[in-house]
Amino acid sequence: MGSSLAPRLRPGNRRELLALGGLFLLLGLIFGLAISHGAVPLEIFHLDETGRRILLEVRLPRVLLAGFTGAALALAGLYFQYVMQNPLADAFTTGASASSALGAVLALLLAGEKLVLPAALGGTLLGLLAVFRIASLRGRLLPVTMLLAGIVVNTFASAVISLLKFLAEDSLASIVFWLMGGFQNATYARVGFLAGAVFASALYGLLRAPALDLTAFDDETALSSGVPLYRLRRELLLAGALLTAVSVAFSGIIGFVGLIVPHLLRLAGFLRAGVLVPFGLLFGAAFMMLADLLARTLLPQGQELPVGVLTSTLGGLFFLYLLLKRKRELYELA
Amino acid sequence: MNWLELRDFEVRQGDFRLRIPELRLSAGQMVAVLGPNGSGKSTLLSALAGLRNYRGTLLLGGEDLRTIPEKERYRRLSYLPQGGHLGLPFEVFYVVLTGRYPLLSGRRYTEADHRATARLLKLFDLEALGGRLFGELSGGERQRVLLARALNREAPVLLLDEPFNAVDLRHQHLFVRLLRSYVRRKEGLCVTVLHDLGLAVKYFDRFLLLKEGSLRADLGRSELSETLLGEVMGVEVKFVEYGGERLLSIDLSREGGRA
Repeated sequence: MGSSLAPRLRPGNRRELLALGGLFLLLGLIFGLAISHGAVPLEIFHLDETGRRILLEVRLPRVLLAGFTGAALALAGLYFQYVMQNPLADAFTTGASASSALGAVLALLLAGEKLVLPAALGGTLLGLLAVFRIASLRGRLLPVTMLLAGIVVNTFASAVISLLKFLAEDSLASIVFWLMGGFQNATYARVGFLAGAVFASALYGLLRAPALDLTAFDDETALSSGVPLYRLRRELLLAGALLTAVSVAFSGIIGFVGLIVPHLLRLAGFLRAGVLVPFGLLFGAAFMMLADLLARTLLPQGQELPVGVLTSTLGGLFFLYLLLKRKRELYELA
Repeated sequence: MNWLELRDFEVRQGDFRLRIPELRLSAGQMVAVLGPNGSGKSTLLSALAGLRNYRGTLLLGGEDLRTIPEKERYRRLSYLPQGGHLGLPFEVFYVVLTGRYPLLSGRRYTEADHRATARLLKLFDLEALGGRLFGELSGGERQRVLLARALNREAPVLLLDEPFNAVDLRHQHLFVRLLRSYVRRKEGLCVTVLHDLGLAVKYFDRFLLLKEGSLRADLGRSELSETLLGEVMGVEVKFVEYGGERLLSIDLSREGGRA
């Protein structure tokens, strides 16, 4: 019994437990703020009939969708980082979000709402495949070439979306939605679907946590440790693509969350997949609920900022910091 | 017992072909693989590790390598490739710990795994670096970490591709002695690609000389000759006895030293 309990009592594990408690607290706090603040302030414990309807029909699904989208994007970023073996990969930098949005927009214009989700998934997979083909150099993905390939896919997909917007004037508003991202179209059905995808992929990663960490090594080291590397990479890529596609189909392109969340966790000293997967889920959810809360309340007149614009601004600055401070990592981790 | 046995063994890679008609490597041996660049040393090692397609027979501990399930295979052998890299940040302690992945039965490393890792870090003079990030280390330090990782598996068969690259002189001698006692203790086998003939002659029992993809010679310590070594390596080798030890004097041979 002693030996099975002992690992839990290491100093590192105590730190992780504390951080886990802290993350739950943070999540609860932001959740409380997010459901009580907005265009109409709500006194959660003294609600009238209108207040209850606003809470249950508008506010709650929106906050939940924001939370699960944050969790999905953080997990997708983390999984892409294992597949591409560098810490700069995420749904946005690999171009997966943009190609997913292109798939969604095409489906909307040509086939209608029903095909949006499968088309988004197809778009994501095609975009990722392109990045892989462009960025692989003798079987290895270098961070710099991955970023370049991501830019190519991103630029191309965004340009086609803009072209479609130009050609199809009447559905302009909904296309713009995909480009800038937001949670105004939240329903409980979408929340449920996204939650299922998030929990299933988190469970998948948690069950294989030590193997996930080994994918960060060169192929020969990983393979000669007995990790089924190629299968693992395919499955992680598929899980990441699914998470990206579902969140883009429901909430549009919201950039950089998958880059910022794992990076901050690693900066705080949490490096192993067994910790990064659950922490990324919680921190991603808290991060996005906060971003959405700010987007809803920052402007004094009660207009909303698109969440995607907010996170991309933040993410752009963060990326600038990474490029300035972590140049060595960028080139030498190659 | 033969830990590794090869018959009509052939690996092709593009135009390059490595052929070994017959080879048996038995328990308790330190085997040095010597040869010039491009002679197939690394190809041989990665093929022995089961990472390349090959023709012919390759037995690991008497069993056909192809029929041994992956996890079991890598419990028996530990391979240190050349130029290993790590794309995401991890602490040194954890990098060494992951060497024990094939030994995992559950989803997490046990207390015993942690204890073994701590012991190995101490043995490799890495204790002070345990909490540092692998990416922050110098080249030689990284190599020491990766070598410790390879040994942490406690596999009987070690396949090490230039394990002492960038490692300082003191640690080279420390580690090669460590390898020798490891092999004796485990009745194991250590196959090492080396460029330092001095180190090889001082500590290894058996020498495989490779040139242009073929096994030119397979010699024990006493059979090692100046001419053969010199011919394969493209240099002029002279043995010098000093204080009961055999030292090497190396010069460029006439056909090797074009200048």
